[in-house]
Amino acid sequence: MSDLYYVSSSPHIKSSKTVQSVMRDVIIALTPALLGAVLFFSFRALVIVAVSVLSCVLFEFLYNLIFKKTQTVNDLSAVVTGILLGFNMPVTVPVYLPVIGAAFAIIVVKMLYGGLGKNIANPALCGRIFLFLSFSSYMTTWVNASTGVNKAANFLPLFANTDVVSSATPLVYLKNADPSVLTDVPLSSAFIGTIGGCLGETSAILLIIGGLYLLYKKVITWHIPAAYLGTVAVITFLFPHMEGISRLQFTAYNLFSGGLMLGAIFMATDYATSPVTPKGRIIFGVGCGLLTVFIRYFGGYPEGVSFAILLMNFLTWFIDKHTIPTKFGGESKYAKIFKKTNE
Amino acid sequence: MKTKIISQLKSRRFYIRLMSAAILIMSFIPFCNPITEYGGVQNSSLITVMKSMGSVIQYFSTEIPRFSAYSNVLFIMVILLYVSLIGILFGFLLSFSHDESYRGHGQNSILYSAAVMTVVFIVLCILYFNINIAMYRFGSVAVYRKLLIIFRMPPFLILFTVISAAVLVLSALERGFSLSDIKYRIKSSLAHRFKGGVHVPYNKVTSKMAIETLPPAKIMVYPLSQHIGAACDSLVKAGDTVKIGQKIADTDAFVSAPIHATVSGKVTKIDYMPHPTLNSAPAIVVENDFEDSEHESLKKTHADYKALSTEELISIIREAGITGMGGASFPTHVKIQSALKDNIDTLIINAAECEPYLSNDNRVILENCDELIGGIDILRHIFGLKNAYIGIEANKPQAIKVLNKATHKTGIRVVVLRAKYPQGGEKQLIKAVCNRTVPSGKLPSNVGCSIFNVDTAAAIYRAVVLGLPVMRRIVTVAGSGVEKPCNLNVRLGTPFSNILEACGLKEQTKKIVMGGPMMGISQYSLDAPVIKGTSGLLCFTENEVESEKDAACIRCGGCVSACPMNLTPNYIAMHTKLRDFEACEKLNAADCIECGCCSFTCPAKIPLVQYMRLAKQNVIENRKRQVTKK
Repeated sequence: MSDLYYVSSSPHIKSSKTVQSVMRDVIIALTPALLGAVLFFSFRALVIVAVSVLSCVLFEFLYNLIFKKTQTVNDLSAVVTGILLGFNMPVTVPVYLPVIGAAFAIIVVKMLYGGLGKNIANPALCGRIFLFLSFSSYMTTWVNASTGVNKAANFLPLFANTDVVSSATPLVYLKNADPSVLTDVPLSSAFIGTIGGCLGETSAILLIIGGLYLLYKKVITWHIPAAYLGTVAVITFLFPHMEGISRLQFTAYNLFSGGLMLGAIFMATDYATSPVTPKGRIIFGVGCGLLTVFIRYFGGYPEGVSFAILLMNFLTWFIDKHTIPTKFGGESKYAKIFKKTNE
Repeated sequence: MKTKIISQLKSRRFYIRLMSAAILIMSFIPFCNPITEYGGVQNSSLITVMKSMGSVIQYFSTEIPRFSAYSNVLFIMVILLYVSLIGILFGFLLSFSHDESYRGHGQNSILYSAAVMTVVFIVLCILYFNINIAMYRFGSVAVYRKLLIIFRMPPFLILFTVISAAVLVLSALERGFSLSDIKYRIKSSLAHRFKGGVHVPYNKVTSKMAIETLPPAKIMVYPLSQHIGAACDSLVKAGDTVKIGQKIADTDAFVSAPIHATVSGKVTKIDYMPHPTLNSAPAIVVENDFEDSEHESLKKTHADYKALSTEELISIIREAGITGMGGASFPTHVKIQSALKDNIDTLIINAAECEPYLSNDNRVILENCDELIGGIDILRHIFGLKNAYIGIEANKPQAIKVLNKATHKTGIRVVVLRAKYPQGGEKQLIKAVCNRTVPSGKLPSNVGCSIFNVDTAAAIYRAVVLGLPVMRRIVTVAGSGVEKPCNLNVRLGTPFSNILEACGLKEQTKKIVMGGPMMGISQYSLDAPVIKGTSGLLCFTENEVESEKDAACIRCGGCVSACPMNLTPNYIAMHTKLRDFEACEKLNAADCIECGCCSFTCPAKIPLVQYMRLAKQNVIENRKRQVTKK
């Protein structure tokens, strides 16, 4: 028996949850969508995601090494950023694109602000927007997974973007108010994921499975995804922007296509850039939903998820500041105001 | 090696693993080469599995007219089968994890998947004669039909059904399912809930161990301050002889409780001694003569307590030195008097025992239930109440059964609560038992409630009816650093070293905690004695001692959703780091109850409670300063 004991403040036990285990759970949740991407878009999808992950980890490692910071690669957050960045690219992009995106996401958006938890916007999202604005044509060439192009994609040269039969995503049909969406891109394939689009965003069902896993492991709360998807569903149902298809179909297309599922479940719930208070999370989700629908309806792009989340990211601290929960046994702001007016 | 294999063969987990592996392997059989009559695909195993999954997707996307109800049912069954297979695979892999919580998730996964799979196979058995017809109508989805081939073979069908049912039963047993457990869980989900809180690993290994009595030590130490409030003054001098039950310290201050000798012997000195909560405090040291001669004041029994007036009862309780036995040690007579002043209408007995490891209250209920009920009767008599509530967590089914039997038709209601920390916190318990919210900065008596611990009620019975002052208490000794975890009946004043000698302290012990692991106080010396608030003594070895460095906050919001007082610990910690205590005041740092939920749940391992304490102290000091300025 040693004579000296550790003396510390309570609590003396802690949960087994660590930053690493949280990130590991997110990676597990992204796996179904990754497998789906490989199934729908050929093994080239895997190559792109792998390049993206490796370069994200490498950039973080090098940054910490050069600026003599504590090494933070172990926490796996760079891997999550890498997978999400890879998910946000079409299968046809040349392989140097994810490297550029990773450099912007990790160095500029994440590490220059102070690393994990200090960044003011979601790194993967900013990487995507950076690539989208810089390499528009590469980033908007969609191939349809179900038309047999996926087999051909295996043989695409890795470093150049060649001509492939591009197919429009359902959102482009909606933007052009083209009712032939119903026959060209049936709703069931939008749900399963056999449509054109970015690697990880096409399959709603696989993303939902990942989201359920995150909810089960209490990595995310229901607030942001429910508020986000709920807002989009309600607005698109009440004010459909297109004729020729039913309200319900319009709503379903809006929910299941584009980056909405990926954004609502994995991007908007990013810890560092979303509010921590329950009320704040609902406001954040509703804001994202409103902006997404507005951009889809009135903006120049068919897709608005990334811009919507980015804009709301900047409001995170502001929302938090004004939604501090009422303490147990305390009076809410509104009750106080009510009392004052009564007096 | 041999013993290892034998112990493996005896464990349920081994069979669960074995059978889930069997299910996983057997599910590959239809995809192997020998059975190609329907599919016509020559590839085997993995690729075929992936393709068949793809064909499920195709079933959705291509518009196959669904002919009969059978084929639809069959289709749903196949999907469920896939899901449960994935679940069993997950559970199987997770069961090899070193992390306890991951193993737990794996167990859950296998349990639920096996349940789904059993249902699927029972339905398939019922459908057996119609499977042919249903299959015939699938048309183009050839690979998918391969999985169905197996259902046409009765031996396979029966084997699968039996194995999945066996896995279900075994994993249910492994998880410790019992009917009463489920019953109380359902009951507890109907109780009111307080917001926040965390699910802690309970580790109540001692809950089934009967209380043993520990013989007194040679040197007994009685600190003059064992409770909240004024410290006592010694009534004896060095060299005096004392007897069991003799009052050795008292004071005129209102918020205080006297202290009694628990052995007979000679006072050797009155000096500063190690104290479990105050580091070092004045104490009376008595050398035990092991004669156990009793003082004449002992055993003034009042079997007919109803003849006594309230004042007399309160003075008996005060003289017996009763304080809250839950850990905070607030003098009970003060609590009763303030509750009488506020005219309370609800009496709550706190049997929640939400701290992990501790099982002393549980044992008191199981072994001294009569004393507990008697104590509640006395309290009801004092307050003039007909009813009382006992709040108890659902994870103590034995104790609930005993209480239900004992309180039958007595007007005492047993309220089964969720097993969630901090269920035993005053404000949380009131919320959960009678759905009242104690306003911030107010006491429970402000909403008409008064709470007493189980052991306090029993102590009141002993003081009034048996005439015994507080001289003993039940201490749970547990943790990985103890060889024989147990519940001990210990005389107050026994040094910790004495207890740990009896229980066997392992050499690797690195940390010793008085109380529960969530709110207990770590000890630097084993010379500190058992005081009135000592509910447990926990010893932790190296691997349980927290030595990780804290990382940066990742803003996960876990502390915000865990906080039972609805605060924002992450922001309070941030402002505390910046020494901005005005901002902390605005964020209600003074309302923190220091339960430790935020520190427990933080994935970045930030010691949030310490920041909260610092903020709380400074906020309260600032407030006092402002009051004196005015």
